[in-house]
Amino acid sequence: MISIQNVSKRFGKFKAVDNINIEVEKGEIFGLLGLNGAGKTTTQRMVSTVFQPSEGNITVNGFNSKSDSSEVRRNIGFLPTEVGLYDRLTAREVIKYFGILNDIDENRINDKIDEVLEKLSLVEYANKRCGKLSRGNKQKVAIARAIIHEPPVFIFDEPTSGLDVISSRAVLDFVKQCKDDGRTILYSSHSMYETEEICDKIAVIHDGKILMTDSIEHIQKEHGSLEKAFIAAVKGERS
Amino acid sequence: MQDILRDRRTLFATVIIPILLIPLMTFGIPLLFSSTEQQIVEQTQYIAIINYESSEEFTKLIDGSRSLRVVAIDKPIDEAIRNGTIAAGIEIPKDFDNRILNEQNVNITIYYDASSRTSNVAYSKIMQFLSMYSKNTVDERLANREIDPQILSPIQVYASDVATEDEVSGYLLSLILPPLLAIIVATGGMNASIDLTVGEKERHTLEALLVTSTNRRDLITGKFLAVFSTTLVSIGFIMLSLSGSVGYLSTLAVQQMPIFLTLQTSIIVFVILSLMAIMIASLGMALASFAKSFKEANNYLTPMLFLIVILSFGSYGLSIEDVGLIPFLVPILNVTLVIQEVLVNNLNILHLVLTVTSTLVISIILISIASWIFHKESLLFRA
Ligand SMILES: Nc1ncnc2c1ncn2[C@@H]1O[C@H](COP(=O)(O)OP(=O)(O)OP(=O)(O)O)[C@@H](O)[C@H]1O
Ligand SMILES: [Mg+2]
Repeated sequence: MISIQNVSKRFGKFKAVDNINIEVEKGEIFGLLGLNGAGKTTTQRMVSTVFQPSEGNITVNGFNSKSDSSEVRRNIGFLPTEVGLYDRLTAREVIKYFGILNDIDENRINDKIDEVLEKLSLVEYANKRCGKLSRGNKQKVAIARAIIHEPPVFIFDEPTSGLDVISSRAVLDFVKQCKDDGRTILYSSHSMYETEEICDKIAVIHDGKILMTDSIEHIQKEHGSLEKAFIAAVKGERS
Repeated sequence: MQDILRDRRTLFATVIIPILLIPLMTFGIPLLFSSTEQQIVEQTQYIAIINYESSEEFTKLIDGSRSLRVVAIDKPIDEAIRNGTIAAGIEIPKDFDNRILNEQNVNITIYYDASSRTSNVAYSKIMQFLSMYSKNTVDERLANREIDPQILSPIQVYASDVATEDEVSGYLLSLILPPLLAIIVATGGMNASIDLTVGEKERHTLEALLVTSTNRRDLITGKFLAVFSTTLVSIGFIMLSLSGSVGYLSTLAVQQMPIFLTLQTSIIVFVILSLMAIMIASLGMALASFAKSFKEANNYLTPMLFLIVILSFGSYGLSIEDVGLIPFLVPILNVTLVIQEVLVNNLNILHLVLTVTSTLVISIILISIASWIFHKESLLFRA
């Protein structure tokens, strides 16, 4: 579903992502784990066509991110780290605006909004201005905005960062529900527990390089927990 | 973009300012121009005459002439002038009537305060009265000798100011309105373009926009159109407000229409301003897309606004009758010059064509720059 092959990204001389390879199968939740500045966001931005890779190739659902970038965008829903909403618009208006930008049929758009609001239990906030919403509800609106066109692939960049326990839980449950609906998800996080709970496979990324790729099941069998495996990998790299 | 409409800052710049400012200028300038001077001239000034008892006739003549009134004072004359009891004073000799009768020379001293406008007006009224008085006296004396008074004035000069007061204020208005219009359009356009470019970066909405199926070229076109249409709305309000005030002015029978604003000229002004709006929108987009934050954008745009103000007031140094063609290639300046020409009903088609072409060419260049920035990730996401 997502295939990242020998991809590097340079900003000037600095190599933010260094020759990585990742394969994500359909219906999988794939976790990108790494410290601050490891290259998670840069990787996800390349998959989302915000950035073009300096080297290597990325395909999503068979479409090349360079030559078919608009097809790739049609196939993904990207939730960036920062929840950027228009404070003066209501939740419904923001979602509708992005629905239109994603070429959703005008006639079906309101039904789709109702559906997604229902899924994210946002119905009662639909007509409030985004500036007045809580952090958790803003994040939900941002998710709704990202997936309104029902793409097969979701890309979530630290969707729970900055949220309280209840809101995080709501987001995590939503991600799991998406997997049950058959979506493919590329999920980045700092949190071992979260990743352990929802992901099928993970890649540990450090200084732009991938240190290990494995299934959660196998890691737990081998190292006891994801945290132990992660620390071992990162420490090994540092010394 | 609904979001812009809910932004008070933009609302203020696009709607409120034109609605309030234009009528204020259109009405205010003619009023200001005619009122104060006119008032003082029409007002009655009080004067005192030293030795008034020496000529009852002279005193009676000046009292009531040209709205001057003679009053008695109990203070020294200079003190009375300085504290405003009287506007001016006249000192006539004790033997005034006798000297006039005997055809002798009469010395008259006028006291006035050169630093006071009222006193100056009184002074010139007294001078007018005295010259009339002295002319009448001469005429009388010549008549006594049976000589035609015409013999003394071989040449009769009439100076006639062809500019009516309305024309003067109309001219003033045609100087002030065009830069004002240009600046209102510019600030409106800049505000909107900041909001839609760096604004999106600061709110972190840009990234979300970039990953929608809409491609970047369409995005920037949309943004550009949004900026352009807000500015158009602003221009619409400007024109409404302008034609409203000018129309109202012309219904007041006292004022001749000070500037020319027919449907046709309104359309020309509207079109030129819209073209300028395209240019401003592309300039704003290009500069603001380059910036990382509002603060940085303001750093770029403030000098730009400054330049626009200077350019739009640049028309002051030029007389539209003989500027040549080069100023009509200078952006903004050409717009204000052409609007000025339109307002005084003296439009030169070549000037209009030059202005339109240069504005369009500059706009196209600027739009290409903005669009290039939108395709350049290193400029969009500068760390
Ligand atoms: N547009 C850019 N220009 C220059 N350098 C950049 C740019 N974007 C990211 N970087 C650099 O690339 C490196 C990787 O950044 P990235 O945002 O991908 O890390 P991350 O894993 O998402 O970190 P975090 O956990 O803090 O979100 C960092 O050192 C960052 O400074
Ligand atoms: Mg990140």
